[in-house]
Amino acid sequence: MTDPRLWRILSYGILAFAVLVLIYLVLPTLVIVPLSFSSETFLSFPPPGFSLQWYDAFAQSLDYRIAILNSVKIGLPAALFATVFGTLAALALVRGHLPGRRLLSALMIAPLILPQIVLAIGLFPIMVKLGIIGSYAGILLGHTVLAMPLVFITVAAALKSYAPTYELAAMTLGANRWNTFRFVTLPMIKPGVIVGFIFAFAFSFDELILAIFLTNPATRTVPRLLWEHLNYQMTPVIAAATVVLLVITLSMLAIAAVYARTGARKPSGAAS
Amino acid sequence: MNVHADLTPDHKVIAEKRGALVEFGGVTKSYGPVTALRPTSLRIEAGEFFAIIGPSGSGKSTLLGITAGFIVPSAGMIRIDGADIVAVPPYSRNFGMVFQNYALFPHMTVAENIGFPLRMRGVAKTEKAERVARALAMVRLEGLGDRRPSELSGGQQQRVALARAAVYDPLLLLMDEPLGALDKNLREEMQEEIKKFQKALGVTVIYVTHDQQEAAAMADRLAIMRNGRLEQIGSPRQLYERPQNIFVAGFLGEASILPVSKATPLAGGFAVAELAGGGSVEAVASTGVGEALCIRPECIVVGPEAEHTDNVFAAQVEEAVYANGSVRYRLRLDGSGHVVNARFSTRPDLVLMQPGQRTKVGWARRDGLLIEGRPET
Repeated sequence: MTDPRLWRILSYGILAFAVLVLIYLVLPTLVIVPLSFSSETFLSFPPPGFSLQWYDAFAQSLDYRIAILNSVKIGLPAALFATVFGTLAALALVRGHLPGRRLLSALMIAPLILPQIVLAIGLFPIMVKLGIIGSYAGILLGHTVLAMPLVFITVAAALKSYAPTYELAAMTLGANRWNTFRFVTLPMIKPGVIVGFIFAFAFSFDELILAIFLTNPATRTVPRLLWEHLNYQMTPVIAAATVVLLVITLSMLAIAAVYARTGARKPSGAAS
Repeated sequence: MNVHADLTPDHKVIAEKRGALVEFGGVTKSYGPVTALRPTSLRIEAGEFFAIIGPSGSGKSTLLGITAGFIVPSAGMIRIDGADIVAVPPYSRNFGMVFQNYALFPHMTVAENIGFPLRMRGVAKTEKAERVARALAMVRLEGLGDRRPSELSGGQQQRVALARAAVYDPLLLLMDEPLGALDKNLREEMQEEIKKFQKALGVTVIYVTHDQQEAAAMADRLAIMRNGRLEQIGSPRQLYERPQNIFVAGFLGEASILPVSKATPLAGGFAVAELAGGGSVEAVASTGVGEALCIRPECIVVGPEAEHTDNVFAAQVEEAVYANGSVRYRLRLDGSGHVVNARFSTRPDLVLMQPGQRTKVGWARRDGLLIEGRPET
C-alpha cells in the first residue's frame, strides 16, 4: 500500500539528485557567460555592469579571426581524415576476421585514453625532425590521430547494432563488396559516421595541448590563442571568445545528439 | 481469390524455366582442428525441393553457407548444371537466398528492396518497375511497395524476402530457417505458400530447418545431418518408414527403440532378433543386422487383436494420454521390461485402457526394423 508512494518519493529524490549533479557539472562552465558581458576591463566576478564591448572587441580582433579560420582549416580536414580512417578501422575490426581483433580495438582507442601530453611530447621532436613543426600538416596529423578513436567508437557501435546478415543478403542479391558497402552498410551506419565526424571536429576545435606543442603563431588555433591571452592579458574578451566557442561546440553536440537518436530508431524498428 | 486468376499467365511463362541441378562432391569444411562439415557428396535434382534438417551444430548451416558462397570449403566442389562454382564469389552466383530474419534493408522501401537485385544487375528503370510490380503481385502485396519493411507484419516481411530473392529468376533458391520467426499458424500458411511459389517458378530449393515436421511437409527429399555428416537422404516417407539408424528414427517423428543382443538372418530380408533382457522378435533386416529394433507407434497393435500379429507380448499400460482424436499408450513389456509406445485414432465409443491395466501388445514383422546404433537404456 505504501509501496507506490515510497517509489514516487524515491524517484523525485533521484531526479533532484540528478539535477544537482548536472548543475555541479555545468554551472562552472556557465560562469563564463556573465563574465563576457562585463563592463569591467579585467575578469572579475560578479561583473559590475552590462556591456557588449568585449564581443565587439572579439569581432574586431584580427588575431581571433585568423585563429578561428585556422581552427576550421585544421578541424574540417582532421575530422574528415579521422572519419575515413576511423570508419575503415571499425569495418575491419567489427566485420573482418583479423586475428587479435580485441587487442587492435584497444590500440585504436588508446590515443583517447592516454594523456594527450604524452603524444604531444612524442610528436614534437619527430615533427621537428620532419620539418613540419608549426605547419598545418603537423597539427592536422596530430588531431587526426586523436580524433580517430571517436569515429571508431561511434561507427563500431553502429556496426554492432545490426547483424551482418544484411551484408550477406546484399551479396546474394548481386552486390559486390563496394556496392554492398555503398548501398547497404554505409546507409545503415550513416548516423554513426555523421556523429563521429561531428565529435571529431568538435574535438579538434577545442583541443589545446597538441596545439601548444605543434602550432606556431601563424597556425595557432582558437584554444591556443585563448591560452596565450590568459597568460598575458586577462581581459573579458577571452570570456566573449570562450562563449562563442562554447555555443559552436554545444550546437554541434546537439546536432550529434539529434542524429544519434534518429539513427538509433531506424534499425531497431526494422528488427521487430 | 481472383488474384490467382491474374497470376496464371505469369505462372505459365515462368514455369517453363527450370531449376538448377546441384551436385556436391566431397565438400568439406574445417576450422583448424574442428570439422564443421565432413566430406559430403550430394545430388539435388533440377526443380527439386530439398530440405536439410538436423540439430544445431550439425553442419546444415555450414553446407548452406558454402553453397551461398559465404564460406569457402576446405575441399570439394559444387557443380551447378555441371559447372564448378567454388571459386565464384557470392554476388556472381545468381542464387536467391531467404534468411531467417529476412534481412530486408530497413533504409529502403519494399519496392526498393525487391528492386535492389535488379538495380545491381543494371536493369533499366521501366523494366525494373514492371518486374517489381509483378513480384509484388506474385506474393500478394500489391500496393505495399512504398512501405518500409518495419511497417509490415512478419508474414508480409517474409513474402517480401521471397519476392526479393526470386525477382531475378535465380535457378537455385536457398532458404535458411525462413519461417523460424513466425508463429505456428502463420508458419503453416507460409509453408503452403512457399511450396506453391516454388512450383510456379520451377526453381530448385535447398531449405534448411531444424523443424522436422516443416521439412517433411514441404520437401520432395530430405537429408538429415548430425555432427557435420549426412546421416540419411530420402523422401519424407522413406526416412520415416525406413530409417537406417536410431538417430534418424528418433529425429523424425516418434519411435520405440529396443536394444537387440543378437540377430540371425532369415530368408526374404527378415531376421530373428533376441531382445536384450529376454524375448525374441522377427523383424526386417534391410540395412544388415543392426543392434536396435525400431517400431513406429502407429504400427503397434494393443488389445486382443495383438494375438494375431507376428510378435506378441504381454504388457502393462503405464500411461495413457488422449489428444484430439488419438490416444497414446506407454506400455511395459513383461519379461524384458522394455517400453514401447503405441498410438492410434479413437472413436467416440472406444473405451480407453487405464494405467496399470494388463493387455497384449504386438506388431507385424514387416513393421519392426533392425537399425544401426545402440539405444541408451
